[in-house]
Amino acid sequence: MKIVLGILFNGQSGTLIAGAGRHLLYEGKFSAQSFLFELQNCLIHLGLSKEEVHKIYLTPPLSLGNHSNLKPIFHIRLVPEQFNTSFSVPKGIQKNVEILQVTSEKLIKTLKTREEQIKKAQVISLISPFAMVYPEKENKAFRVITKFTPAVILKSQNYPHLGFREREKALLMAAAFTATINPYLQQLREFFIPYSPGIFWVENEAVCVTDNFLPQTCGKVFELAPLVQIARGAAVLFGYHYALALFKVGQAFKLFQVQNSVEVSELSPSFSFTTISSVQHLFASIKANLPENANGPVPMFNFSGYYLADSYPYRIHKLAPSRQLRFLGLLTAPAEITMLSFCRQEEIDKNKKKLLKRLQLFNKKHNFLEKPVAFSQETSLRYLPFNQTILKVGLKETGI
Amino acid sequence: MQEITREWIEPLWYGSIFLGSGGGGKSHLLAIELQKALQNRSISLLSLEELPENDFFCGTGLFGSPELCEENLPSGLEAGIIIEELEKHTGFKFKGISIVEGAGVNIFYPLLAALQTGLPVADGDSMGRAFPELQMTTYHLENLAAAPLVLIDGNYHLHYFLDKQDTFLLELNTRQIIGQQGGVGYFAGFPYPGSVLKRVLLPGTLNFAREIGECFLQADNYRELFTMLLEVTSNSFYGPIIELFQGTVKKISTFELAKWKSATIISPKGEELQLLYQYENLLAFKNGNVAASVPDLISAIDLNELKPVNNNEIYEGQRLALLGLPAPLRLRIKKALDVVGPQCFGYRTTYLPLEKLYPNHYRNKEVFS
Repeated sequence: MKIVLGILFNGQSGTLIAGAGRHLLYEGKFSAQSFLFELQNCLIHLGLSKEEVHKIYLTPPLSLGNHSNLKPIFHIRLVPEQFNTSFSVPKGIQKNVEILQVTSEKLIKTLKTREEQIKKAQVISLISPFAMVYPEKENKAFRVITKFTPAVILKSQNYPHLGFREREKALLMAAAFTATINPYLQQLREFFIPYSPGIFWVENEAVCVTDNFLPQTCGKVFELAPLVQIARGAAVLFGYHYALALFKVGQAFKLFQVQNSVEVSELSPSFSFTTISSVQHLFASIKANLPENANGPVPMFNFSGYYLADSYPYRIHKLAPSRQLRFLGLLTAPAEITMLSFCRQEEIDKNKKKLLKRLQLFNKKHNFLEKPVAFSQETSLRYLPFNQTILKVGLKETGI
Repeated sequence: MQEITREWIEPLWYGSIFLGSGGGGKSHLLAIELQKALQNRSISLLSLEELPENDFFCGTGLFGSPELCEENLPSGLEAGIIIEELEKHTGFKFKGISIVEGAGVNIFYPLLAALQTGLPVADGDSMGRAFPELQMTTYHLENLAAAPLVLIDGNYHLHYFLDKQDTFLLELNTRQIIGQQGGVGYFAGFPYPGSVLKRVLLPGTLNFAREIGECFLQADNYRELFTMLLEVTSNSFYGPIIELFQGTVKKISTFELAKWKSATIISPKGEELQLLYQYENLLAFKNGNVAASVPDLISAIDLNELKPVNNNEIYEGQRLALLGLPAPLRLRIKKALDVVGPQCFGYRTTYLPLEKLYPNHYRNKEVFS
């Protein structure tokens, strides 16, 4: 039997789960000290060898449970004085981030006044606007900071998310991952020697932890990860190929679509989606555009707490979010391996082929994905003196 | 006079993308920020007829890459600075804001500037769609300069273009600066009184964009959407839309030695259409013949989501409908075609209006009866 392990971190403790296909087989708690013991215990309990662990899925929350005044992440915003940075740090890691907002000109002077804090930080994250296309400022600051600390320094230019806020969110999540999960990664790899099961990070899809995985994955749908996984878990539990799942988060509704049993995407409109009439209107437009394989009644998991009556083609299942659904949704996340490149428009095809070849070789060597299909995504940066494209190429599994 | 309230933002969002004709960019964050700012406030909107003859208005907008706009999300403060600088250097006290490009991000930025300054906005624009360069405006057709113009770049440095100069030269100069300073900047320029704007601007931009956006919000299916869009556009000075094609994107190609990209779309019957684009959608070829060309608008709609999409959002396997919208007549005169026609983008042919390409559709609509 090949099983998937799931690890959820929560401060100094966490939950270890195991499953195969639609079946959840094990659930246990661990602390930082008892992690390996609990891992061993799980395998003994299931009567399995290390060889039978096919994949390991890690997922948020990423709370570090920090109780001291010492913050493990030192985050530097290198911005002009007028720059508007009234952004919120992702929930769960606020207590662990010290933010320094400074102009390039004042960087060295300010770093000197904060030297002690910087030296004690585990990770330094560095962001400046436009760094993806104009990386010089960050590179210069990077060289300065290395003189103050030997800690890991993450630069935002490696995070291909358009928009300062999006990039900062991803960068901070990556910093939190580096501070929280890296110690566990090392333990996991050593525990499974001589085998090397694939290790994946799951927010929505399960993305293989390769060398450059952090930039492409962390923080993308971090806040929604539990909902995405619950939606998928419900579709898997009830055995539906296509389903919808409705949630209410604060004032707003969130609607997800599950296709091919495990592929989740958000359907909520970009703007106000706060009234039940806006939900009904959206249902009406989805009805007219249902995929061909969604014939007959369409299951709709209603987690919102609002009453909704069956109305063809929707069959409403009123459910409450549960741990079990989330665990199932986590363990059945479709796996993928991806690579990124920032290239000139005319080099896209050449780069696409090159990256795909590397991915195929990588997958062949480790046998992470069975029967993978290739996909690619391009985001062009236009109206610049040069044409640049963010190219993402990947291999992904479909179905369970 | 109308009031722009928070309810305007969502329909304006979809309308701005549709009128972008594949380009013009979009910033969801900017739209959301505006929606928040309009919670307890509103912006006065003046129709062109209502513009006071002698009061000066100032054109504002974003220069450069809309994709990078969220790298340094405008707060409106920069609009206050550039407008004030322009006032200082021209000696005019501006009584309102005008829109230069009535599509994409540049529909929203003047609203932010209006909120910051408390000035009303004129309901019109000088492009009638998205175009990539400064000289592609109705001001240029009237021999009116964009300068004096003040530019603030992504690093908050001010640049002044106070002497009247050829708009194409100004385009080159500003682009050079933007390219070196973060890829995005904001300008205040085109300082003209109401009497000139009445003559120059294409009227009703914001109301038209809003009406188009409402169609996307109200329609439950594509047929319904098309019917609604047909009604709205038939009652505008653009003219009735036409469906150019419906199908699935088979391939997206980049031409190494040119600025062009193309998307090949296949219909369920096996017919093929090639959409050629640079920043905006510029040409469509069906069975080897021109199916639509710039300055007519070629807008793509994602059939799964029933929403308009920019051309950098097109992907292989996507189901699209391509709609053609006749450009306003003022963009079709010879003088206009010299700056916005197909040859200005490198395609050496004469412009073929949609009405000539699809005479039956337009005769049936009694457009030319």
